[in-house]
Amino acid sequence: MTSGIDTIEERLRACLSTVVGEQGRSIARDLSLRESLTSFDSLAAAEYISHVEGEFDVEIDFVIHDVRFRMSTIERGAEFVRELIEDGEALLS
Amino acid sequence: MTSDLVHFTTSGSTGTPVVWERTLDQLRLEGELMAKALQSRPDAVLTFADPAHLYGRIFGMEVPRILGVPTTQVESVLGPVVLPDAEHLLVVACPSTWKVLTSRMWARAGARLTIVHGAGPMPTSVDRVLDGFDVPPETTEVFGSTECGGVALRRVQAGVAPGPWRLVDDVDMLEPESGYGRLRVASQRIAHRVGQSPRADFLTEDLVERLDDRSFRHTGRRDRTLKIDGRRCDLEQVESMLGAALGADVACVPRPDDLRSWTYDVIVEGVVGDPTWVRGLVPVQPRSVELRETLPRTSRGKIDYAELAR
Repeated sequence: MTSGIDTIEERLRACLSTVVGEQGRSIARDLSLRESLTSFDSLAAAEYISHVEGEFDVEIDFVIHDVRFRMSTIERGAEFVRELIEDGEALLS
Repeated sequence: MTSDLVHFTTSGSTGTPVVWERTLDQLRLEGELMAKALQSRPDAVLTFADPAHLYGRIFGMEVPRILGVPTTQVESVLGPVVLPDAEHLLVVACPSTWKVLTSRMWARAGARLTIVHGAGPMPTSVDRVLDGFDVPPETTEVFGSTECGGVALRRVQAGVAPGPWRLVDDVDMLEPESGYGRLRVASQRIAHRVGQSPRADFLTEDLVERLDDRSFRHTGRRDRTLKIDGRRCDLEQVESMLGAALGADVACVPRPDDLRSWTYDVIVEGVVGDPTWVRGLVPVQPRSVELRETLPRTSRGKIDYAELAR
């Protein structure tokens, strides 16, 4: 079953707040995480992506998936995760 | 030896950073020793290690220069990662690099890999990552510090428990003389603090078990300093600083971390409210901040860190 974008965004924010605290829940969906969040360096970003992998049971390839762009905002991240989920469902069907 | 000096800073986030000096000859010597220690000869280097730190300088600059091969520096674990055109590639890895080593990019490139790992403990994912390669990369772990340089090496194989550390050729283990104790090493590559005389040996904060004249097992550290993201963080100082700011007892509990080498949890006693504001008080972000009514205590009334670590 495909998850709605809103639900995915909510779950991404939960992953993000694990790394950066409550600011992760309130950041606008189209704002750059790197530029908008305090202490969100590349390792924090990698940590966030690891949480996302666990939350959605997906595998994110740091290089081939161009994570720097695709996970740069909540909005882009949700679209990317939705694609990963749908790709996984397509493999199973 | 020439007197040209290069500075490396133990970048402390608590306490004053210390500047250590090394001569160019010392750096060249270390590069030669490390190049020799590699069992095979790569034809290019891809480094994820910061060249401002000794490990990154040695393996990202000195070793390639000695081998006469090009080096490519990766600035961030998020990329971009551009693979050099090589049949045999040396990857200079830090803990966070292992997230990138899971990429299908490596298989597509088809190059043979040799990996050297330093600047923090191996992440827990190492076995899984190495197993993902059709041909497991020859992998070497480096034990060392800004003060001593590379002290010891050991090979890493998927599914095989780590073996003892073996001293680099020019290093002598002065202490412990037998059994367990603080590690004191001697070599021509010991750094000295700015304004101080060169030194021949250094007493580390590492606790080891001496196995024989050339090998040891690491058993822990004497102090409560962690290396987080390559920065030294003295947990005792963090506790003292937070305790003074909050007027409460604070415990900082170290936790191993696959990306940052180490992280820590902050637990505050007897303070109420949203704990996240405490993050604004600490120079190095903890993994978590927790407020508790009481901290576990030993029979002597001291904070029971063993209980907190469970």
